[in-house]
Amino acid sequence: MFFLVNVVPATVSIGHWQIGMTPWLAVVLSLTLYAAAYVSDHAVEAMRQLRSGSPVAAMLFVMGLVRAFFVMVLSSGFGAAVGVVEATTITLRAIETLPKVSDRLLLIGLVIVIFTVCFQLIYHVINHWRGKLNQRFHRPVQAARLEGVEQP
Amino acid sequence: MRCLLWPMQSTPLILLMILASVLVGAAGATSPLVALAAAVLVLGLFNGSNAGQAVAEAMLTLREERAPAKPALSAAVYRARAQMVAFIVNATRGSPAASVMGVPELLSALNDVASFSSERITTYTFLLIFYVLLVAWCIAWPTCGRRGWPSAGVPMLDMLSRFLPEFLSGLAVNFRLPFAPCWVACCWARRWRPHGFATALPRHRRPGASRCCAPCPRLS
Repeated sequence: MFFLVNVVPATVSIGHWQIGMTPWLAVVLSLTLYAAAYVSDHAVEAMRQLRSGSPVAAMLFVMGLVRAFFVMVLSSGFGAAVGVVEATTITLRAIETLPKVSDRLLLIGLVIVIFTVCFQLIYHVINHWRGKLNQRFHRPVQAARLEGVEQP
Repeated sequence: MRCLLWPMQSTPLILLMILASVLVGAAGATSPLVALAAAVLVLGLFNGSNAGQAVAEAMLTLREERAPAKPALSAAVYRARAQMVAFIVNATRGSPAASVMGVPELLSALNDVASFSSERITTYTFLLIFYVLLVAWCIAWPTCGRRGWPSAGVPMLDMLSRFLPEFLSGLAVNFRLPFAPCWVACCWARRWRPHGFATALPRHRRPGASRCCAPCPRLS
């Protein structure tokens, strides 16, 4: 992020396109690199599990994507260092204006509660869907496997 | 336990650092060592909660698959290895956030230097190289020589000797950076790897080579 903001020229031309290196773009590009590496590593692992006959393990890819989304959103707070205004920046500015430690702790606590409720709701909804999909596709396979073990 | 896990997974790291600094300040401990310990704790809890949850999910799938048998924890860790590595990387690259708490840290120190130095490009390129190497080392160190993990079977020195010159010479050529380390690395790469980097690979891993060095009994 700092490299993109400070070293890359303010306007980069790719063919006929002129792209301005704004702090927002720097944050997006720096997070994209990590997200691409994370998703590709996890996708390779999921495909490996699928080929080895373990669809349940391959479905962990979905939860990995949810976690990658969380990390991306939470890491965007680093953008405050290069002047990007988002939830963390606004909270930090509000904290600076509060004189008492108890008020600061209360504000931080409230923000943490809001973030926790939003993210855990998303996580549990998607985890519920994953469980449903597992039941639909994996249980018949497992039942057949167990029958095959019991028969001989 | 969930009361700790859920907020740790869902709160921005910067905010957690601020919370820790407020708590440390309220407790009256203001030394850099205490701040460092608090930063390590926060970074560990933030990334550990996510990696731990990945391992727990992998354990659940293992229990479902091997229904009567009780799977080992190591099997779950192995299954969640991609996420473990991802969160090791995340912890490493998140370490500059500790400067929020007043921990003496390289990125913030060099930011201060760059603010009044004319060598901004050199400073930030040095920082980029440093953090890329740090992350590469953090991935390679726990996973080298472990079967199935990234960089398994690759000795670390061999991997670094291939990675470092290629990366630095690429920087020097593509960005035309006029500082010495890149050129030294270029010269070193050309001198010690005259036939390309494939020669640094073990014989059976070179491009075009068969999997076995000796004639395979099954094929013959």
